[in-house]
Amino acid sequence: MKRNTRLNEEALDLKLASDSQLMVAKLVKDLPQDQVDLVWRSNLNEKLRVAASAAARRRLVTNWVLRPALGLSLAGAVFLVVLSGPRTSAPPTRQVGGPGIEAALVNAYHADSVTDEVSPAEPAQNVNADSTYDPYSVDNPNGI
Amino acid sequence: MRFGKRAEPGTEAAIIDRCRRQDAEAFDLFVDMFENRVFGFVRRMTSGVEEAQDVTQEVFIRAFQNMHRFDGRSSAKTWLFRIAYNLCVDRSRRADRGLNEVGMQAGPDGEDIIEVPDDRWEPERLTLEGELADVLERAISNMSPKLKSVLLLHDREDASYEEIAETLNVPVGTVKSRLFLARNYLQGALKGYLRGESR
Repeated sequence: MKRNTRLNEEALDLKLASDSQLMVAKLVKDLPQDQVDLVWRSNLNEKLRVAASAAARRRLVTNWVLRPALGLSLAGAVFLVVLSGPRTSAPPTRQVGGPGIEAALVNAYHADSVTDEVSPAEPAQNVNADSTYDPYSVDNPNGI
Repeated sequence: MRFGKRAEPGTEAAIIDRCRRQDAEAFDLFVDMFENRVFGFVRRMTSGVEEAQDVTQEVFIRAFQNMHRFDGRSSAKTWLFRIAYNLCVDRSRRADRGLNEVGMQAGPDGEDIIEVPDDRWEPERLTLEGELADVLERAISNMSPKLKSVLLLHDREDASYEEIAETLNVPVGTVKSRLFLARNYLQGALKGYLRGESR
C-alpha cells in the first residue's frame, strides 16, 4: 500500500515537472501583484490600535483585579476549610459552674472540718488524758 | 525559526520576537512584509475585493492577538497563511458558495488524473497581459478552495509541499495531487481561451 502510494507520488512528481505544468506555474507566478491601498492600511492601523488597547486593558484587569481576587478567594476558602474542618487537639474540658457545685464543695469542706474537730488530733493526747485518770481517787471511792 | 536564542536585530526573526511582546512598531514592519502577499492570496480565495480587504485585516488582527502563541515551529509566513486560509474557508462556508466551484476530480493519491492532450497547447505563445490574465483569474476564482489554495501557495508564494501540507493540514501526496489538478484545470481554461481566440 505504502509502496503504491510512493510510486503514485513519484509518478505525480514527474507529471508536475512536465513542461505544460511548469508553464502554468509560471503564468500563475507572473500574475500581477496585488497592492493594498493606504486607506486600507490606515483602517488596519486603527483596528490594531483598538486591539492593542483592549489587550492592554485585559492584561491590566488580569494583573490587578482577577489575580488578586483569585488569591483572596483562595485564601478565604482555605481559611473556611481550616475553621470548619475536624480539630486535631484534645477536646476542651467542660467548664460547668453553678451554685450546686459550689455548695457541694463548701459542704464537703465543712464535713472535713467537723470530722477533724470530732476525731482526736494525736494519739499522745489520749495517753495524757488517760494518765490523769486515778481509779482510787475520791471521785471513785469504790476503786472501780 | 526558533525562539530559543536572541535573533539579529532587523531580521524577520527579531521582528517577530518583538511582535510577540506586543511591540506595535514591530508589528507594523510585520504587516509591511506580508500585507500584499496575504491580500493577493485572500482576494483569490474570496469573492470580491472588499471582502478580501476585510478578511486580510482580520488576518493581521488575529495574528497580532495571537502572536504570543506563535512558537516558531513553522515559519511566520506559513503561520500567517494558515490563519488566512482558515478565515477564507470559514467565510466560504458561511456564504455557501459551493455551487459554482470546480471540485476535485481525483483521489488524494492522484490515481484518477485526467490528461488532456491538445495540439493547440503552446505555452510559449502565452504572455500575461490583459485578457489572458483575466482568463486565468476567472479560472482560479472558479476552483474549489482546496485546489486554489494549493495552487496559490505553491506557484505564487513559493511554499514547499511540506509547508503547504502543514498549512492545510493534509498529507504531502494530497498537496501534490491537488496542485496537479489545479494546474490541469487552468491548462484547460487557457486552451479554451486560445481556441476561442484563434477563431
